[in-house]
Formats: sequence, structure tokens, C-alpha cells
Amino acid sequence: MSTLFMMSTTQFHIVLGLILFSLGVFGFLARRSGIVALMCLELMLNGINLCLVSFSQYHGNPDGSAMILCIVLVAAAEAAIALSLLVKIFRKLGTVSLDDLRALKG
Amino acid sequence: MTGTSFVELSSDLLRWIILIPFIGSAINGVINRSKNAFIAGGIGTLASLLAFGVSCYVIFANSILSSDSAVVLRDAWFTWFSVGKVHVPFHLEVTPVVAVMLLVVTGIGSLIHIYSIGYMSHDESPWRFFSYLNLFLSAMLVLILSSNLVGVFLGWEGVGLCSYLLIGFWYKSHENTAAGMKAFVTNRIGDLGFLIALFACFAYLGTAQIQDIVMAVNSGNSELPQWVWLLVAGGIFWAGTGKSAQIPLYVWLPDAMAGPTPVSALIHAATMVTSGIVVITRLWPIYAGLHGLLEIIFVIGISTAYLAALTALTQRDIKKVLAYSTVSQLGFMFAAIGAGAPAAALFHVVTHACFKALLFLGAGSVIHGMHEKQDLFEMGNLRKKMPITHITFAIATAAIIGVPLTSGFFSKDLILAKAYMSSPIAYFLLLGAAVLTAFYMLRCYTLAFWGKARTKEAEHAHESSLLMTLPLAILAVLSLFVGWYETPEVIFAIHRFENWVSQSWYGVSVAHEGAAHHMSHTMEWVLIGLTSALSILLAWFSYKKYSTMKVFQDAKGFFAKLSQNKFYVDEFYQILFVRTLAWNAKFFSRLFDKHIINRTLHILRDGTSMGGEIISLFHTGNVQTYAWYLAFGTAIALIIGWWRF
Repeated sequence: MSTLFMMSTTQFHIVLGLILFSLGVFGFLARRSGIVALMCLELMLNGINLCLVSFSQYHGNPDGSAMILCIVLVAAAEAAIALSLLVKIFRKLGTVSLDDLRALKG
Repeated sequence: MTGTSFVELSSDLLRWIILIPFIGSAINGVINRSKNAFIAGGIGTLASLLAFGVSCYVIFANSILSSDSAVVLRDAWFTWFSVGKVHVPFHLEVTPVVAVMLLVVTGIGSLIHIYSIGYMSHDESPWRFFSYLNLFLSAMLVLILSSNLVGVFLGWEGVGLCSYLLIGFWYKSHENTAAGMKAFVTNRIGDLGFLIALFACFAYLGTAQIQDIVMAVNSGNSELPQWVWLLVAGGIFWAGTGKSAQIPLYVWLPDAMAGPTPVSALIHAATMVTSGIVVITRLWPIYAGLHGLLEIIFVIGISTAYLAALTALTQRDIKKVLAYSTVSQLGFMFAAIGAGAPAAALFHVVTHACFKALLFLGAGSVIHGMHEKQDLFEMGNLRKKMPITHITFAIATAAIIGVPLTSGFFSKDLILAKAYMSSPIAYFLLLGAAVLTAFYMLRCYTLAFWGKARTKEAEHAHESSLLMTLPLAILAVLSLFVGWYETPEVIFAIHRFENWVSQSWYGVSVAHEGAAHHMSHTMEWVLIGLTSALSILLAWFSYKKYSTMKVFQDAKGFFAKLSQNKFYVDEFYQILFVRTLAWNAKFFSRLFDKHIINRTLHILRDGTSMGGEIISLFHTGNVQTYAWYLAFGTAIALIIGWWRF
């Protein structure tokens, strides 16, 4: 625990970002629901965003912060499309469980 | 070898000699669909006569055949193609040799066109016939007029195509189309030689202009090794054995008689089959120095002359006799070339063109009168029924066996004299072949025109129409008198052909081998006497034998059977080439195709599909599985990265 308190703000932010990202990966791999998987994707994105913004602050370079704006924009669009796809899939198949969506099996 | 100057002239008219028959062919082939032989024949004959007229005008206006110095008339038509260093112009030129051939091809061609109107008057598609015939004329003229070996090759292939088309003209019979195919395939084998010669020219001389090739031999300083010249000369000769029907490629010519008879006369006797000799004559300075090759040519020529003459002795089909006679005479011409006398060969080409065209047209008239019967044993006593055909056929027979003062006498005597000058043994060998000619020709003539009529057709035979007999009469006159262009020392010593040929090498003069040992006049008289006496004796013997013959059936003796069956050469080729090839193909299809190529493909196919099946196990369709692969891969990448740095 002591190391936690010895970290600088930047380090702390990065560790938090990594935790968020790992949570997202775990959720994406472990949960079966499509909606949860989507949420986990967003979680991963935000973990990365956090890392970017803290590095940006650390280096005093605004490029990272500017990139985040783009990522957020893309994430919003992606969420909209993915959700509408899920809605469509639900209407068609009556489920959004990823285990049931196996049409691409080779 | 020394070089002298020659006069160069130019004329744009030359291209029309080729274009006019080509246009005639196009009109008949594309526009004319009339079944009237007079319309189709009229167009064809007009084109042919116009080409003859233009040829005459061009030759005499530029005094190509009457000048003391060498004249070359050119027409720089267009550049055919030019790629890198290979530059092929399509230019035409007329040297005296070409001029002689021009007159033969267009002149005799025109006569045969006229004859064909009568001969083909009952045919279903005369327009097709005359279209082919004009196309042949056009291709033949490209062959002899072109100043470039590539152009010669174009004509060479063109006449081959027309020969194929015309042999199989009556394509509904399997036999005819097979004969056409045989001619085509056999000639392809010969054409390989032409291609080799062409490639050698481009590779080592950088040009295929006949003039440049001839000049290159003459320049003497050439660093070219002799085998290059051997390749060029041997290649052309090899091609000549195909087109001009020599051993081993002569087998197509007798079969080519399946075509209409005027075709046999024009293509397979008078013009196309002599093209090998003409091309060799134009390139003679190459050959003059290659003694080994000349000896081979001589041996092949004389063997062909013998083989064909022996085969002709027992043939029953009138056209087959004439076909083998043609092969035999072509052998004479090659023997003359081998003996170092291209002028004698060319002279024999011209006289032979006249009397052999006449013989074939006469045979066509007989066949016409006999209602398509060709068997000599079914004829007999036709001289009463077909007087004009009989007289002209008799004149042609006299010419071919060399009755003194006919055209064949002069040309054959010249060849024999030249052969004697190169070696007396060669003379006696050729004399034997010449005497055989007398025997089988008289057999053919006697069986057809003397004795008793042996069938109903022979009894009711009728003389052909004027359209057919008029060309016969003109050719008979030519057969009698065309020999006076070149006569022996002891009879007026006229040497037109000798001059024409030696003027055709662009000022290059080739040393005469035979000139060293000149013949005495006594010797010359002896040779002439011996040849004529033996020929006439054999002819008389043959006449006696066949005019009194009672039993008409195939001979039984061993040699007679051998001769009648053409020495089994066709059967031999069938086994050696056709069967062997078929057997090879079967062997390879069964063994190589099935067990090697097929099996390799099967292994490839099975491997691919098995690999696909294995890989598809990972392809579950579940997004989360893929996400696992991704996460796992990233983790490995991270670990490796950690470990490396």
C-alpha cells in the first residue's frame, strides 16, 4: 500500500487507466451479453483515453489531449452504430447473447 | 567470285501484279455467289490475264530479259515491320530469273484459268474455286516477287494454304480432305527448314534481303563461319524438299491429285512445286561454295527421280502416273542443282511447266470425256473420240521423253550434259531415270489413246469444249518451241537461260565449276545421240508392249507389286511416324499424365483442403473466441517486448 501513496499524480492516473482497460478486457472476454460487451469496449477506450491525457499533461504537449477529442467522437459514433446493430439483431433473432451469434463459423 | 555493276530501275506497277489477282479473289470470294462458272471464271480469268499483261509490260518496257547487262527492277512498296534491329521491308524486285517465273506463273496460270471455266462448268461453287485459284496466283507472285526472304516465306505459306484448300476442294469426300491435310502437314515439316534459314539470316547477317545475303557471300571478307551458310542453304533446301516434293517429303504430292485437275496442272506440276528450285536459284551464290551440300542435293534429286519413275511404271490412275512423273522431273531439277547448274534446273522448270501443265490438262480433258473415270485400264482408243486432246497429249509426251527438238529434249539434254561434266557416273544414273520416263509416259499414252476401247465410257467418250481445247493447243505450241531459248553448243549454241540466271545475282558472278573441263563437240553429239536413241527405243518398246496388250490386270511379280504399292513408303511412314507418335501419345497419357501430373495435382488438392479443415477449427464464429486470440496474441507480444528490452 505504501507504494500507492508514493506515486505521483501521473503514475496514479496511468495505473488507473490500465486498471480500467484490464477491466474492459476481462468484461469483454468473460460476459456473454452483447450489451455488456459493448460497455466493456467503451471501458477499454476510456482507460486508454486516461493514459493519453495523463501522458499529454506529463510532457506538456497538447497533441494527446487533441487526439482524445477524436477518439471520443469516434467512440460516440461507434456506440450509436453498434447499439442500433444490436437492436436490429435482437429484433431478428430475439437474443443478443454472443454465444448464439455464430453465423460466421467456418 | 567477282562483282560487276548492275542497272537498278524502279516501277510502281509491280505491286499491281500481286494486287490484281488478290482483288479478283476477293470479288469472287466475298461478293460473287453466282453458280454460273462463266461469271466466276470470267472474273478470275480477267484478273489472271491482267496480271499477265502487266507482267509482260513491266518486263519488256524495262528490257529485263533482253538487256546485255544485269537489270533489277524494284518497287519499294512499304515497310512490313521493324522491331529493334530486325527490319523487314515489303519490297518487290524483278531479276531475270523472277521475270521468267513471272511469265510462267501468270501465262500458264491464265491458260489454266481459261481451261477451268470449261472444266468447272458443272460444279456447285465455281466462285469458290476461282477465288482460291486467284488467291494462289497472288500468293505465288508474292513468293517470286518479294525481295526479302520473309516476304518469300509469306508467299511460301500462302501457296501452301491454297494448295491445301484446292486439294480438299471437294471437301465432302473424306479422302480429299485427308490428302489436303497430308499435304499441309508434310509441308509444315519442310517449312521448319525455311524458318531455321530465316533465323540464321537475322542472327548472323542481320538481314533477310536476298540481295544483301548474296552480296554477303560475295564480299569474301566475311568472318562468318561456314556452318552459318550451311544452315541457311541447308534450311532452304530442306524446305525445298517439302514444297518441291523430294525424298523424304515427297509423299504428299501424289495424294494431292485428289484436287480438281486444273489445280494439279497449275499448282502441283507447273508452278508451286518448282518454288524450291526457284528460291535456290536466286540464292545460288550461297550454294556454289558448299560442295558437300550440293552432293547431298544431287543424291537426293537422283534418288527421287528414280523412286518416282519406278513407281510411275505400274500406276493405273492416269493422274497418279503424271504425279509421279512430276516428282521424278523435280528430282531431275534438283540433280541439276546438285551438279552445279541452276540455269539448267530453271530451264527445265520452264519447259516442264509447259509440257506437264499440258499433260495434266490433257488428262483432265480425258477424265472429263470419260465421265470422271481415271483408270488407264478402262480407257483405250480415245484418239478417235478426242482428236485434239490426243494430238496435244502426244506432243506433250514427246516433249517429256525428250524427242529431239522438242522443249523437253533441250532442257533434259542440258541437265544430262551438266551432270556428265560433274561426273560421268552421274550422267549414266540420270540417263537411266530419263529412259524410265520414256517408258512410263508411253505406257500412259498408249493405254489411254491406242488399243481397243475397253469400257462403255471409253466407247462413248466425247471431245471437250473449245474453252478446254484452246489452252491445250497453246500449251502444245509452247511445249514444242520453248526449248529454243537454250540450246547445246552443237545446235546454234543459244544461251539465254544461262545469261538470265547469271544476271540475277546482283552483279555477283559465280565461278563455273564445269567450265574447267569443257566438253568436246564429238562428246556432246554422242551424249545427245545416246540419250535420244535410248529414250526413243524404250518408248517404242513400251508402245509395242501396251498397244498389243490383251490382259489388263495388276501385275503379279515381286517388283511390279513393289512399284504398284509405291514401295510401301506410305505404310513405312505410317508405322515410323504416325503410329509411333500415336503410341507415344498413348504412353504418355497413360503413364505420365495419369500417374505424375494427375497425382501431383491430387496431392496439392488434398493438402489444401486438409489444411483448410484444420484451420477452420479455429474459426468458431464466436466473437469472444476471436477476442481471446487477440488478447492472447497481444499478451505474447507484450511479453516478448518485455523480455527483449
